[in-house]
Amino acid sequence: MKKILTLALVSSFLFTACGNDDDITPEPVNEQELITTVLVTFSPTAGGNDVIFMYKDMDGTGPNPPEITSGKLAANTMYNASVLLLNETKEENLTNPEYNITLEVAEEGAEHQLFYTLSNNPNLSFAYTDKDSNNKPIGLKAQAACGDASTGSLTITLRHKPNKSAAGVQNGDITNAGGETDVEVTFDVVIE
Amino acid sequence: MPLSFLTRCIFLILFVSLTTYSFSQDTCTLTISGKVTDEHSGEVLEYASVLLKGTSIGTMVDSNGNYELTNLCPGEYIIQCSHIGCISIYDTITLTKSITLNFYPEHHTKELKATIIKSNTIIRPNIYTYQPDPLFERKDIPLQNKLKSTPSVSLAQTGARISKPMVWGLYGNRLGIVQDGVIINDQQWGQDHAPAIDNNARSASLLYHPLKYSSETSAGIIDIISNRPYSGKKSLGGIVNRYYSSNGKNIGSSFELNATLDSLKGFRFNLYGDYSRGGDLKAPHYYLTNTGAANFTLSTIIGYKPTIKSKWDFELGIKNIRRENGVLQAAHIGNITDLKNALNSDTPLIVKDFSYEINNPRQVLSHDVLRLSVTYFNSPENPKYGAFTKIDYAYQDNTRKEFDIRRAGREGIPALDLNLQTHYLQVNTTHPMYGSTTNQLKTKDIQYGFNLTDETNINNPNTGIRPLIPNYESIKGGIYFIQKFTSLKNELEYALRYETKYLRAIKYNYLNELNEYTYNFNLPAASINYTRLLSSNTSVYTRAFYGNRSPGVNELFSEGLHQSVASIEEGDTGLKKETSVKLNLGVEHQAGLNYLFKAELYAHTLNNYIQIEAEDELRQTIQGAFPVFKYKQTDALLLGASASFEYTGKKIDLNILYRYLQGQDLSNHTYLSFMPNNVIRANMRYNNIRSINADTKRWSFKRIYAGLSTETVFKQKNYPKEGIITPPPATYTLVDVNVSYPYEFGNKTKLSLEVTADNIFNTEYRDYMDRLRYFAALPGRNILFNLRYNF
Repeated sequence: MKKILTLALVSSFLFTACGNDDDITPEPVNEQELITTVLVTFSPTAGGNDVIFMYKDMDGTGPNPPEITSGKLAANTMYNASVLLLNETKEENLTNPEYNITLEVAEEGAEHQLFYTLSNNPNLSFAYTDKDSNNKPIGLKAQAACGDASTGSLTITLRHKPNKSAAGVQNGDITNAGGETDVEVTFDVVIE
Repeated sequence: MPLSFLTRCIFLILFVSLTTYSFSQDTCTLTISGKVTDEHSGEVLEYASVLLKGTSIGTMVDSNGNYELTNLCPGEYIIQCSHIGCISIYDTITLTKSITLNFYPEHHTKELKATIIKSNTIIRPNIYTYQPDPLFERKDIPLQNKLKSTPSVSLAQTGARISKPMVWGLYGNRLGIVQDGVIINDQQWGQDHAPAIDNNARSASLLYHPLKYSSETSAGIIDIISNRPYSGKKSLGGIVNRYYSSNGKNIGSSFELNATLDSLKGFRFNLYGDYSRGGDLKAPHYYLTNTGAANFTLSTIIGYKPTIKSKWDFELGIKNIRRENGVLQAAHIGNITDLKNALNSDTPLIVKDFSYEINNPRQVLSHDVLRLSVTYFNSPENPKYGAFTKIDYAYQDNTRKEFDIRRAGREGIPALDLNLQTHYLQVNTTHPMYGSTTNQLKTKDIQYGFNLTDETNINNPNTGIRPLIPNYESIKGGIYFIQKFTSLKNELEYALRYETKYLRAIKYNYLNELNEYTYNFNLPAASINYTRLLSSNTSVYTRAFYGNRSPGVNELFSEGLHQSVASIEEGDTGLKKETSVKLNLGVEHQAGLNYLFKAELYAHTLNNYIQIEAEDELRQTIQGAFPVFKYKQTDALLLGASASFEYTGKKIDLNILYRYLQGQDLSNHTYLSFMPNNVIRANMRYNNIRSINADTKRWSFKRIYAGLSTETVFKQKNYPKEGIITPPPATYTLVDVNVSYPYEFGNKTKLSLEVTADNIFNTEYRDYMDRLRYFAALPGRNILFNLRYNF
């Protein structure tokens, strides 16, 4: 029994001696795929001030609620809509691919598509104006046509690896798109 | 209802077997006699039994190891020699004259709680042990799937290829896995993390008293033995398997070699290796795209004991496991909208043609073990009064990489890359026959010692994704004392353990701020087991256990998105230890040599039981909305019952088991989630014996084995209604069939072909305990062809 106790003491000393020296401090992880912000810019085709919709969630899947703002769109007006996807934890520079995730999505356009889904009947419609390498829409750019004054909501969804050949998908219908959702944000829409 | 069904089955079988297998006895004057000695030490194995299967003829050997079976009729018999802690030996004989037959069972160094009272009455160990079938062992399925012959064991699955063992509904770090005396330390952070255990097992037992290893494993310990003691005799033998299974088009091989050579006196070798490669599995109506797998295991055990009477024994074990598993592609989804789409579809949303390719998402893991053990026996001259001291040291390196579907060419970069390194040390002393023998209640054996575990877990920071599990180190130390008393009809064992655990973790939170956490846990435990022999063939036992478990690292620190269930999982750094009190009551009745009945009742309370609970919150993120699940503590009560019946006949073996389990969440007045379904399993095997033609030197066709097994898994009705995504799947029944044709040549060499059909009726089913049940059914029919060569 005495032998055992001695052994126990010696080995526990050895263990703690080796154990405590370990440096387990992690290096910060460079989160390259995080998207913190979706910016939708509506530019009137006939000129005038841009209207900006913004969805911003700095803590990713964390508990802090997102910050959502949307401007008012003018009735019976045509807009060019463009979407920017940003990782605002990185250095702010639109040519920096770590900051401006849109660059990656555009580069892999054939594997991505954005969908503009409307609910509660706002008087609004979208038509894709960009193409991927297979001549199919990506949806980072679209033309938005506002009708008479109305309200409703707009959901913008980014799907990774959707089936762009499925029925309706090229026209912006998400029903048969499949794939995996990378972004899904909803804005209130007010057309005045 | 199920019990009465079971009772009816038992009576039916009793009736059939009694009418079919009674045979008349005429000129019955022949005898079989011989001696039973340990294969390795040559020592006499007292209390071994020799019996003729399917008859009531049997005996125990005497104190010199001799046995004699008299008044036998000419005919064919299967003779079985058994000893507790040994693998039973079967031999087929055609009896025309009296013969001498000696047996050399292989005896475990670690004798499981077997107490012998007097000849012909044995307190059976009351431990459920899996031993590979001496006739055929499948190598195409993981070891944990084979443990289902124990009523309390079930599996937590992630598809068909990834499974974790559960005992009475508990798994993960509540259930310890010990191989050759070393606790397996691997990364089991989630249900989709299978343990790194290999198929090189001579036996796997469910130990109910884990106190030699841990205070924390309240579900028990699965004790796997793959090493072999020193035989002192020259021997060379092995098994080679080649197999192909149709579902998944798996191709695999395994080999095992055991050698004790004259040229290397004192050394013993056990080499084991297996390799398999499979493609996409197929459910009855569609392929399960991206469910391919690759496995590789290599294990080398070298032992050295200078002579059979040496005081010292050394053993070195080196093991490498490599695994790659594809995860069902349709299970990789973005958010709750995608999950709803998947649930609304009867078939997976991604189904492609068969492929061997393993694409993302996939898991790649490696587990390497270096083990050294030294045994010192102080009294080889007078073994009954000696003491064994065994020192085990093990270094384990476990790496888990998970690859995900990612953007911008990052698919080759793992999304999770964790490395866990563990040092383990145990010093254990056993006095097998301690104390005086004059008292009526004598001390049978005492065991004491300590173990130390040091773990360091480091994340590779280059994944580009915030890790689910933080960097941490933990040091755990425990001391224990176990004592056993026996009298004529009683066996009492108690065990005490004290364990302390230190844990330090460092992580970045959601806002990239660095936080450090340290914990100290005191984890006492105690257990008491009492067995009483009511008559020569009936025993009852009671086991009580008290223990404490510290919260797991995933339970404390998990933070983030769980892709395949579209939910956010969050740990709680304020969790307290979980306290268990467990009670098992059992009865075992042996009727003649052919019938064995076992029943067990189980009750387990867990205060501060840690479980993952659905929150009311639906969290808005840029990826959409996700339900939030948090690790929380509640008071839980588990209640279970099992019954099993075994019949061993001359031509037919049969066993039937039933298990019932219910988990109650006492604090929230509901049921616990993810508790295994109630089940009935039945297994029948038929042996057709043909006599050997001694004149022909050709390979002689000797026996056919045919087996039929069924499993009915009942729909889980007791589940928490809150937070459930979809109700549990329906009751299902699966039928498996297997046939084996062995050819023997020479004395020992045997070639056999086994054909097995799993799920022969190609039944489509989903299982409540399968995490991928939302997305796809489990596999349909599978035909396995296995060619086995014993030498």
